[in-house]
Amino acid sequence: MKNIREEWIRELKKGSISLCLLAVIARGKKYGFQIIKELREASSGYYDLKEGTLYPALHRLEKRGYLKSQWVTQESGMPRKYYSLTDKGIAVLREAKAEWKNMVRSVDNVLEAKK
Amino acid sequence: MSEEMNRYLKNVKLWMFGMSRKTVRGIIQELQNHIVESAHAMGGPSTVGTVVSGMLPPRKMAKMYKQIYGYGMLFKVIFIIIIIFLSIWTVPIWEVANPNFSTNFVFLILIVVLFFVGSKVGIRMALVAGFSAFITRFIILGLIAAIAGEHGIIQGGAMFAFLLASALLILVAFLPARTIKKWEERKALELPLPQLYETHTCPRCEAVIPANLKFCSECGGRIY
Repeated sequence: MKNIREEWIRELKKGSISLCLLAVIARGKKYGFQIIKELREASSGYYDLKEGTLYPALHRLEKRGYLKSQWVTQESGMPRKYYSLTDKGIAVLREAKAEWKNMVRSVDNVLEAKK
Repeated sequence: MSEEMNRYLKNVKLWMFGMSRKTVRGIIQELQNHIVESAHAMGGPSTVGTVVSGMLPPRKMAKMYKQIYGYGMLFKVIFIIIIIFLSIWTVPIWEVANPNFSTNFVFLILIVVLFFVGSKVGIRMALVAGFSAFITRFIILGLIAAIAGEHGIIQGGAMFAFLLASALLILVAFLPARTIKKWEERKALELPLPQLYETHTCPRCEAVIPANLKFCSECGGRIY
């Protein structure tokens, strides 16, 4: 894998982060740190997001209307921001998922074509 | 909780100067939670320093949020007030009252301010700023013409130059805003998710297709 430029891998990740974030949040309302952890575990460490990537991405998705957030005060008194999908986010995730599967299938077909 | 954390958050807050206070408060609280939770996962409060040192520099962190939220309403209003004030003094009539006064100089300052607003505050605000300058100049010119009466006849050529200079102000604000918007869209960290679109059903094959199509993408039938 050393021959592949880091930039290309970064672009691949960049193009799929929003989709992965929506998919993780679709499983129930979650807060930032929890999202990082779940994403890392679900992707076997492939997506190990830094806070500087995650939070702005979440805020961007919220501003686009795909996510909504809610502050919940913990027992310790510390307020925590939870994110969940909006109806628009659910619809977009459904379409994006279908498109992603379509793309993966198409790329696989090209890569594995005999002729 | 920790001096390093407080210093880091204070610096992020400082770099977010100009953003809405409520937004900044939320961002800082969220980052603080992240640091505390990361430190907790790493072994306790003693690791806060390590967590903070691994984070993005405050300026970079603040910049990412500023790209999303831009300036707050208070700052936008202040920018408009400054632009209106400067625009008043760019109408080439004040030299008549005071020969030492240069409206051209104020015009140049206005261009710099509009360029700054256009490049920093977003495309919508750039248009508001440009049109504010445009309209203010015409209102002041109209008022002066009304006061001067028949002594203040404005020649066609001068009027055209005045109109051109005023329109230029809109462009000075709009062009950098548009260029930066395009640039940021390319750099933005996001999957270009499919936008939701209106659909309708093909009367011939009953396939669900985008509403803007004139022919069905499945059967090729014309959509009326």
